[in-house]
Amino acid sequence: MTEGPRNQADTWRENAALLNLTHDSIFVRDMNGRILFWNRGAEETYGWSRAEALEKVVQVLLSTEFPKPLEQIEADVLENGRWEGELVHRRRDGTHIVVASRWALQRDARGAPVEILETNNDITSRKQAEEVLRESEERNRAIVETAHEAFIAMDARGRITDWNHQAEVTFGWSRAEAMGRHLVETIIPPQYREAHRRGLQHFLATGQGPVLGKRFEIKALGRDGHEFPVELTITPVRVGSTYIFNAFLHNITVRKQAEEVLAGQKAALARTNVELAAANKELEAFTYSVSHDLRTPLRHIGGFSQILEEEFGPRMDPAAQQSLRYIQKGVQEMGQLIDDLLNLGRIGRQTLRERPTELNLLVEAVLADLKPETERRQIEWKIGQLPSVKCDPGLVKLVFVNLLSNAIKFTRHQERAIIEVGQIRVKGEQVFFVRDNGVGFNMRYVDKLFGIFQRLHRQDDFEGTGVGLANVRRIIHKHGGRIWAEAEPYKGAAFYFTLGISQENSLEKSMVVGGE
Amino acid sequence: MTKNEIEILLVEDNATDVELTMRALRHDKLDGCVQVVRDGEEALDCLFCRGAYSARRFDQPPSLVLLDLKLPKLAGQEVLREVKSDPRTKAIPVVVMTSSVEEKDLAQSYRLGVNSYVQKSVDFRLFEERVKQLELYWLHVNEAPPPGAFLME
Repeated sequence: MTEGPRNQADTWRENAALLNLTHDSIFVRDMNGRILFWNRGAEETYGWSRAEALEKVVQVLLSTEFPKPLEQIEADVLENGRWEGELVHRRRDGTHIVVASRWALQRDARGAPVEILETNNDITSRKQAEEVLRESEERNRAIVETAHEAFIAMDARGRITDWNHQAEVTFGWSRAEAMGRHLVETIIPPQYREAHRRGLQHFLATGQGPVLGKRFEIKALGRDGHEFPVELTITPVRVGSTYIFNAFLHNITVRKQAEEVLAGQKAALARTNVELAAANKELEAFTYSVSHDLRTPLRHIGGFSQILEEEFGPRMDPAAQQSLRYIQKGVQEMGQLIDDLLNLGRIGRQTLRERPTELNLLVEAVLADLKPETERRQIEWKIGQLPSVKCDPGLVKLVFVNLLSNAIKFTRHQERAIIEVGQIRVKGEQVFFVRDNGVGFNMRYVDKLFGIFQRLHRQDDFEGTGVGLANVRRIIHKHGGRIWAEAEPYKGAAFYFTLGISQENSLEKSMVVGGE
Repeated sequence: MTKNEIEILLVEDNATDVELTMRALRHDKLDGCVQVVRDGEEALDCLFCRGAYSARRFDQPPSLVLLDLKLPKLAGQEVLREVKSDPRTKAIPVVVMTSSVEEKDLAQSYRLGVNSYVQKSVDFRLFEERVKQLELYWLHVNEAPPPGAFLME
């Protein structure tokens, strides 16, 4: 060791009081790395006292990690007299810190390098903050890149400053190609460019932009020249004295097409509704006319045939009298037909007035109404426990009137008629039934059963107009329910019905009901 | 002749219906006091004492109007509306007698202030009986409105 460096070290020592004032860690080491001076800042930073540190080789003591090989750094120092860089040091407690390190070379009077002054500034927390920031940026980038929406950013001069993967897919320009291009010329069709530029200028001048921050639709331009609708939102973000504009957008071609199809269907539906309303009105006028005009000539036929009978009957021979009675019977039947027909139309037009209804009470009321038909008859009634259901009581009463008077009628020849009313569950669905042991019918004709004016029995055997069950079915359908029948000739018939989806809770059940 | 020249005003366009109604009334020997008009306009002329009926007086109205709804020119509902909205004719008993019992006809007639609504039954005997009952009730059971009921208020 020469005298020079010692002298120099003495100089540092003399300056120690001054150097100890700084929080920076400062030390001096010779060209072999041996520590000659160690200030208080270094003691605080690394945990090694001056006594412990002196004479140690610095890169050993601090397990220094260099950004490049030490030889190269020393070569730099010898060449330039100084070096700056970031180092990682290990402290006495084993923890690592990052320091911003500045080296200064000292030469002796002859110009030979003797020692290096290192000033180290602990930047660990700054580095950590930078790391956190970098990670956060990476995360954000990943979000933007994997988004299904195209993300485009633009600066106040209208140049593209960001362009994510979806933007590449949507417009056909790669990120590298798009960055720095004028946005307007890249994705806006020519006819809208001027408006777009004006909008940007207007915003920059006034801070107002009617479309900013809102979701709106425009036509966009792909790299291949085709135009397509996009939905986008643009948000201006103030950065210092200027703005950047962030836009999220997506191609809505498919949605637009679906909307067009839907609009077409809507229009068609509206047309159908108008036609339907017209047809309904016409039907109403028709029924009204039937109700008034068809009855009038019938009354005349009936009236005058009765007058004939009353005034000339005694002078007529029996065949003529019989003919008159046939006419009168025909008039009565025709009158009944007209009434039934009008009822059918009325039920069709009527809106449901649903409310909770005790079916047992309803059936009781029907049986009371049917008293005249059951007098002088031996009928065993089996009325089961029925629930309260939500339905139109007036209409459902008609259902029971029809089904029960049918049962009464078709058990007429039975010595002991049995008529049952009850409910069963079929696949979780509530099913009501009316069953009799009457004349029944052949299941071959079951399809005709509910058709209007369809009859399965001869008029001479069982009177009727063939409208009753058509009415019943209409009412059941109005409730969203189904009706079906089972029968066997001379054994009896059973009618089953449901009262529709309003009675059921689960979707599955409602599908069963609806799936007739 | 009773105090009114016209006991019953029959508003009916159908000749056969007129014949049937007259037959139903004939038994009571009242037909001389039945005035038949064949459309709504004529009915209003008669009731409002104008046109061919200008010699008539408001204070001697018919005791009963039997009104069909389906009429040429002016429907029965319009006749009813006019009659029941004028103080001079409002008190005249009007019975709608028509083929239908459509709910809207019934509802509208009652809203307009009809005194009674009767369906023309397809069964002639029933029809005849109803006409007689109407006649009996409105002309003999019911106390007719006094002349003061037909003045302007």
